[in-house]
Order: sequence, then C-alpha cells, then structure tokens
Amino acid sequence: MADYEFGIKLEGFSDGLAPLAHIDSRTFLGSKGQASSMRADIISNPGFIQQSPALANLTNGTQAGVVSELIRFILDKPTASDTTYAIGTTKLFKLSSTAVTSGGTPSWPQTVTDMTEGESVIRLKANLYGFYNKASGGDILKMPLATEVIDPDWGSSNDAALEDALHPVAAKEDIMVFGNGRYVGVYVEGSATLDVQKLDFGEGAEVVDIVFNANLWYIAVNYGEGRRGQIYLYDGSAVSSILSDEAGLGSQKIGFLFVFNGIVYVAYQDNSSGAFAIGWMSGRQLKPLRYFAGSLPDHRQKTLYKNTILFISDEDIFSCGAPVEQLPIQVSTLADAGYATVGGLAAPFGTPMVASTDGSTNYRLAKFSGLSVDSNWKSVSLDISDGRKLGKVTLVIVTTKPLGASARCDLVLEGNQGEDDDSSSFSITGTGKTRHVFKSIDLKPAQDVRVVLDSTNGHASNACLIRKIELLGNFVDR
Amino acid sequence: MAKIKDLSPKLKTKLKTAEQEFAMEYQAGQLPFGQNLGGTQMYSARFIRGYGDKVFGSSDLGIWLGAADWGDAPFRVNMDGDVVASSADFSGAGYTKLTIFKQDSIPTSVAVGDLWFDTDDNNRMYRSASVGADEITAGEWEEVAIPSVTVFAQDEIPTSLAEGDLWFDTDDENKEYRAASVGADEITAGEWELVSTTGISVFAQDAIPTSTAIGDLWVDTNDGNALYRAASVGADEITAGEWEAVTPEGGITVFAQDSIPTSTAIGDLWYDTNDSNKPYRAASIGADQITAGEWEIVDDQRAADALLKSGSSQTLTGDFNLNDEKVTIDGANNRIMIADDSNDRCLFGKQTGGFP
Repeated sequence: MADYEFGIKLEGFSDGLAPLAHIDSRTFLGSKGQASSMRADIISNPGFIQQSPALANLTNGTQAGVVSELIRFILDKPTASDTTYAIGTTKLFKLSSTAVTSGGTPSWPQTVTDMTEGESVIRLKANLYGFYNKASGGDILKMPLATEVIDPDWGSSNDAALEDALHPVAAKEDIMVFGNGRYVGVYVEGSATLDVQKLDFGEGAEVVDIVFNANLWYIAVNYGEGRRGQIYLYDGSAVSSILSDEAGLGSQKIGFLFVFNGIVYVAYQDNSSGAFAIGWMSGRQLKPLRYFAGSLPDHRQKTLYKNTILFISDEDIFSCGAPVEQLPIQVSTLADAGYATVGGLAAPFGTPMVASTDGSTNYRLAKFSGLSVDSNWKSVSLDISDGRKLGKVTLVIVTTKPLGASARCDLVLEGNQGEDDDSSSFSITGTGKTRHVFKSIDLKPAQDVRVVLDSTNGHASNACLIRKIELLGNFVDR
Repeated sequence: MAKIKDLSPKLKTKLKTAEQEFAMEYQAGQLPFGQNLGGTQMYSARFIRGYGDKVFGSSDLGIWLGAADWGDAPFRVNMDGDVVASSADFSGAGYTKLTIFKQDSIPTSVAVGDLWFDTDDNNRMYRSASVGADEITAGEWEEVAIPSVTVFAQDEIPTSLAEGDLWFDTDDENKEYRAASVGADEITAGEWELVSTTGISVFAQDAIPTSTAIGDLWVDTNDGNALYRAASVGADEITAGEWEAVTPEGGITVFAQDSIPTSTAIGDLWYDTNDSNKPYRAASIGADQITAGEWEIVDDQRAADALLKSGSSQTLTGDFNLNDEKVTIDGANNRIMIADDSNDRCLFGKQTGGFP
C-alpha cells in the first residue's frame, strides 16, 4: 500500500471564481485554482491568494467630517493634479487622493439647490457638469473649474429640465452625450447647443449607460423594466438624429458599459436565469465572459484596477478581467465595499475609492489601503470518494511566499459539503517560512472536502501569499 | 508502489487566455458592429460618407450632401428626382452640352439641340434636329420660329412685317402706331393704328403749353414750379376751363405777421400785421418778396370805390358829426355849427332871415 492513495493539488489561483459559483457556493465544477466562494485578492500577484485590500476612510470622509450623505458618483479621472469631484444626494464634493475637501472659498462641499439625487459629473473643457434628479424631474449644473461657482439650473436654463431618471454621461473633445430617461441628450460646447432630447428611444425605454469607442457613441438602453436590452451606435459628431447601428441583446438587462483597450464590456443580468454577467461586444453579439452573484451594478459603479474592471455587486467589490493577456479572464470578489449600501466606485488617482452608508447615520468615502482581515478563499468542492470508499485527508502541505512577521492565514477543511464537522484550524504562519506541513488532520473520512482559507487572524500589512495547497490521503471503507 | 490517484479538480475545457478570448472569429457575411471605414458608415438602407454635417448620404429617401440627415441637407434629390439646392451655377468651363454657332455658313451640328444664328440672314435662328446636321432641312437644321415684332422709327409710313409691329412717327412727335395686319402701309383701322395713350402728358416748361388731353399737367418752371391741370383739350391759357392751378393737398396757408413769410403754395395769403393788415397772395411757391410773381398785393375794391367816390358829388343824409357833435355839418338846415361845451356856438351858413 502506498503511503497515500490520492492526492489533490490546488494552484494557479488567478482563475478566480468557478464557472458555476454564482449558482452553487459549493460547486464541484472548477479548475485547480478556482474558488467556489471568495473575498480575496488574486489580481495583485496573479497565481497567489492574498488578503483583500482594506478600506481606509479619506480625511473628512465620514459623517464626522463632511461626508454626511451617500456619495453616489465619483468622477473617475482628475480634473487637475490630485483633484477631482464627486456628487452625493444634495451636495457636490471636492476630493484629493487622501481627503474630502472641507471649507475654502467657495466652501466645500457645496449644496446644490433642489438636488435630491446626484447621478453623475463630468469634465468638459474648462467646466464641470453635474447631472442630478430633484423631487420632480432633474437638471444639469455647470461649474467653471476656475471659479468653482455652481450654476445649478444651467440645463433647464439653456434647454429644458431633465427626466427623473438615470443620467449616465460620456464626453470627448467638446461634445458630451448623456442619458435622460427615454432620451439621449447632447451638448456641443463649440456651438453652445444643448438638446436634452436629441434622440428618443420611445415609451418604456431607459438609457442606462453611454460610452465612446472607435469614433462612435455606444448607448445602452433597457426596455420594459429591463426585460430587453439593446445597444445602439451613434455617430461621433452627435449631430444626426439617426443612429448608426444597433445590436439587440434579447432578454438581458444592461447595468453598465465599460471601454478598455478598444473592447466594449457589458455588465448585464440574464433574465432567463437571473444571473449577472460581464460580457463583451463581439460584432453584434454579446459574448458572456464570466458570471457572478449578487446584484447588477450601474453606470456609477465601475472603474479600472490592475487591468481588470472593478464593479459593485451587493456589498462587495468584484474584479473581472486578466491582469495580463497571457492569463485567463477571471471574475473574483476582491474586497468588501464598506457599509451595506454602496454608492459610487472610482479610481481617479489609481487607487480605488468607494462610498457607502449603513442606511442610517453612517457614511464613508474610503480607499484601498493595506490588507483586510475580512478575507477568505474557499476551493471548489473536491470529490475524494472512490466507489464505496470515502477519502481521509491525512496530510496538507501549503506553499507560500516567505512570510513576514505576523503574516498568517488559517486553513480549515470542510467535509461532506459542510454537513460534517470541520477539521481543526491550521495556521499558516512563521516568519520567513514558505512550506507549511500539517499532518494531524482531524477531518472524518468524507465523500468530498473543501479547503477554506481565512484571514481573520492575518496581518494588516504583511501578507500571507499562498501559491499552492496539496492534500494527500487514503481511501477508507465505509 | 501504486501511483497516487490525482483528484485535483479540472475543467473539461482548458480556460482560454484573455488573448485567445478576444480573438475575433470572422463570420461570413457579418459586418463589424458599427462598421466605419474611412468615414463610411453603413446602417440598414442608410449610407453615409464623411463626418458630422460634412457628409454625402443616401437612404430610401434619396441622396444628399452637406448635413448629417436628409431633411437638413442643403442639397438633396429624392427618389422622384425632385432636387432641392441652395443655388446652382451652370457656368462651369466643362459645361458643353450644347454648341451655339454664330456664322454665315451652315455649320455641322455636334449634338441635337445645337443652335445656329445665321449672321448674314438677320441672325435667323436654327436648331439642329440631329447630330451632324449640315443642311437647312427638316431633320437637320430647322428654323426656330420666333414670335417677334419689328420696330420702325421713321418719318414715312412703313410696311409692317408682322401683326404687332410698332412704328414711331419721327416727324410727328414720335406718335406710336401698331400694325393690325401684315403689310400695313396706311394709317387706318386694320392697318397702322394709333396706339392710344391711356395716360396724360406732363409738361415742365416756362411757356404755357397746349394740352392734349384733359388731365394733362403743367409744371410752370419759371413760376416756382406751380402746378396746373388742363380742364380741356387744347388749353393754352391759365384760366378757368383751361389750365387751372392745382391747389396742393392740404390747402393754402394764411399768414398774419409783420415780416414777409415764405409761401408754401400758390394762393397762400399773408396779412401784413404792421401795415394795416394789407393782404397779399402768393403767386408762386417759395415767395419771399413783395413783387410780381411772388407776394402780390390783393386789391381792396371797397377802398378803391371809396377813393372813386371821393372824387365825385355824393349825397349824404343825416348830420355829419365830428368830435361828439361839437362840429356838425347840418345839411338839412344848410349850416355848420361849432359849439363849446355849453351854449357858445358859431354858425356858418346861409339863412334867409338870419340864424335862429
């Protein structure tokens, strides 16, 4: 008899969540490196499992400072060195990479008259424009970046009020194109022409996102309460009233569009299964890339981080993409987004920042900083049975990067899909150690086993980077 | 030693790298989404070449230039061939559709519709009915009939060439006649007929003209352009029933002042207030002198009568009292009485038997 009759090797952790993880959190289907459930960082150093990034509030970034409402949208690029803006429910905020501006002339944050729901902000040439809803309808504010004096009803003064709806916006050169309920509005600064109803997609339509790519505006429209999605192309000059092309997505509800490196990604909900997915436009076809669980993010909740798209789903920040082209596309739960209700997500200075509220009195605007101990990684369920025989794991070997002081991650084995008692917890720790061997595995013989890594006892700055996990065991008659 | 059984999880299909995932596979017949090659956009039946408003477009509506959409285009042609254009210029050097000949000899046409003006035959115009036409005949050079008239300007009665010809009789004040028939050579009905001038004559001269029609107007150029209207044909005097002065619209002005006013119309009146309201009448417009042709005094006939009466015997009735009856010429009693304030008096007269 061999010392061990079966062996399992888990590695290549850059694959992210398993294909069916959004359906079954204990799925058996997956690769060696895929997880059935996770909240961990597998994109910072692909191939390794690392603790999630932690969140640190920006200076003045809570209700104790000046963030006393949910920041709903963060401009995803700086307007000047270390300067950008965000919009909440009633106020316009000014941000740096470390702080939310308080006071000054004019005094920040600035209250926007009659605003009840900020939707988006964008910089067009020397001005900042903000789109927002009011108790009834909506409007566009204009703020010269030089003076920072807000004209709250610039939109209605120059054309007409907006619908009370989502207001995604995109800009290029001196043109900005924005969603306005069933309409698309256009502003051409060169000719100072604003038309808030340039295109009309009809009753029951809602423009949910707009991006610019390949000299065309991509306009995502949902119809019939999101039962049908459509993507339209519109000429880059935005002077025509006729669209350039269109692709019907069928029974898909679109959340957002995202352009990266010439590819248009689409976050959507598959109405037939209820699953959420990230796909990409291949010709007139939407090709799904990876599925995820939770909720459908909108135009305010997307950004780029380490060559992957970050987006919000429920209370978490997800990542989708490949850190390098030679690796597969992955989707993974990267980090906790803060409080339960999440607002805007962006990375205007490179490091992602996210706004959230507990729905009561607590608000925050925080950015990635250090390592979170609220992090875990769970393998797919691993079948260790052989006919009538059950598997008994007797040895676990974990390979890591050399660990720093107090770096730690705890390993537990779950048997029979969590129905049996878990094994004891084994600590992966030890300064300078790279190989961690655990022999006294007390998990009872089982049909299947799942490896759970937990960072509750981890360190805030010294990471425990796990490269490989091996399980060895024998079959036992039962 | 038996081999350890590998229970590591595996996917049936190896995960593609991102590079492979985004590799486009060509699908026969499918155009890329929003295909735009060198500014060319193709969308259903719509074709656009260009950017913004600087485009050439075609769709089921027609073809157009100069605007993103058909309806805004400054140049467009619909499917029925109707053209809308801001302007058109056919003077381009390459525009050689028709050749126009102007020469003595018969040219050879190069296209149907060519025109030839025969310069030694009163520029008679011919149109080519065929390519290569070199004869004046049906199917080649065909005369184009021009419904024209001949205009004569001469002393003698001409012979008309066509109905409608005109003749201006140069030795009779250029009277205008119209030919009522071809070959007309007499001034008579059906031949040369005087063209009735429905208007009036307007004279502007010094001397009194002779009116040719009632309503003729005369502007007297040496009388402040005074305006007269003929009340009859042949009027040659300024008098009622002939040339009658036209009072300007708005009537005359009556001046009552010390200084000489400037008249605004013939007939204006001026009462000279520092000369016993002596009346004057303006004989011309712009009169500002008391002189003939300008402000002319209006004779007071009553004063003349009085003067005339002073030179002849007159019979007065009643007493002639001067200075409150202190001097009384008493004709009835043949005496003149001069009295003081009470009873003193002097009497001159003849009284048989003495004065009482």
